[in-house]
Amino acid sequence: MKGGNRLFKCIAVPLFWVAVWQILALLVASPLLLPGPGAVLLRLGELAVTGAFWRSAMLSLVRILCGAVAAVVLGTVLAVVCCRFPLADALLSPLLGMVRSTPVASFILLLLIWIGRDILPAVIVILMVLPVVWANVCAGIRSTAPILLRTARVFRFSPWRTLRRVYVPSVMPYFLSACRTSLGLAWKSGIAAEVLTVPAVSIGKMLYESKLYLETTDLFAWTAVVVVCSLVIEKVLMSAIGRLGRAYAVGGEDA
Amino acid sequence: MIRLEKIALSYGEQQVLRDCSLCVAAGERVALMGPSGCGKTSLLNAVAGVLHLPGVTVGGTVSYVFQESALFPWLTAAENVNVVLGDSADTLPQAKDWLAQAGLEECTDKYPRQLSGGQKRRVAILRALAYGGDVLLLDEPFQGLDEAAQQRLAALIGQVWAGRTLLLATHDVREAELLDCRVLTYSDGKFV
Repeated sequence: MKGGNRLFKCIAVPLFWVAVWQILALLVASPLLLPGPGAVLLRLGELAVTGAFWRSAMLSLVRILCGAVAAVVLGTVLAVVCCRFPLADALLSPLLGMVRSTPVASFILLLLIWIGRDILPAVIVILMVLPVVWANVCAGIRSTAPILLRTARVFRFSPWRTLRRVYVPSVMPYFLSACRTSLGLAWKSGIAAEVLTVPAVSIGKMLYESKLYLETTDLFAWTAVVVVCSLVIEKVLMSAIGRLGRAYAVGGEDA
Repeated sequence: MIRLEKIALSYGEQQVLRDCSLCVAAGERVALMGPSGCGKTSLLNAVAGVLHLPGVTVGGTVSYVFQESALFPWLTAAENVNVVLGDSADTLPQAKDWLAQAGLEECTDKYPRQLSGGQKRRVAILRALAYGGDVLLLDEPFQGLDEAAQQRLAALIGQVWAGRTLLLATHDVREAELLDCRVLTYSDGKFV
């Protein structure tokens, strides 16, 4: 029964929506407005054999992942600093709160004036992901059980052992949750930044040009690339995060 | 040795300790007896150095069994003991030996959430004994344990901690008797 359910979810559900898409395309009867799945798949195949396709996909991927990794590292460091020094928290909390509520388009347009378009998507990813990681890690550090910290103090744990045995396991669920949220955020904001800034080699540029020249089939094909990349990265990173989560789960529970 | 001089302690408006002085000589066993909220746990916390109270002097290293078991939820029972022994693979067999002394062989690889309240309590006591030191602080150590387990642990504490200082906080005279303690009873803001 379980296997049948899984098969239904993995094959039947996507097939249903592809069929809906095909019916709509037939009803609209204009590839300019809505190309059918067959045409998009064909175009994707044509694009996939060109060098430009892989260069664009890889560079976008590298930009977004570099931004996400930098944001996770920086967000974690800033969270530690804020929890350790109240003055840093007083200074940074409003700033990061403001960054979190500012629309991504405002940052993109502003940064376009200040920095190069090739690194701008990575900077946008940092700005979007950093506050999420920072807030979650801060919450994790602050929720560390005082009794466990007292235990560490009585039994004279070194700072390293306190970090490894008390803080890291306490913060890990919060950190992993931030990573899960950040993944989708990084990918969406990174591609949005690319579309608005049009770096020389990028998925965003391809999406922008497809829209500019009314090549709707290309637009759909590149969107499919974005979705597939996002799904693959999510699958790979979630598997890594899941392993890490299980290693630090409370009493061996699943993360 | 533990020396408390003119300790004052308040919980909000209510002053629970006034000019409370007492001395526990090296190797002596003392029980602080009193009702809940009379300041026993706070005194133990002050002796352990996790609460600052002026007038507290402690000679030597302190080991502590908190009122809550305070086990690390992400570590197994053996790892919870091992973490105070050196936290290495080399000391893990030693941690398992400690658990075996209290009949907890089958619990070595279990996490705190998989242990009963009594088992957690025993692991916490064994952790404090394994850590060693000069002064052992016990805050209602036998809570939730059956009679047989209490006697077995009291015998183990007596044997392992022989000749060293012990300070017990309890409201149960039976705990003080099992650990062979001189009893100081709470009265009018002092332990006398």
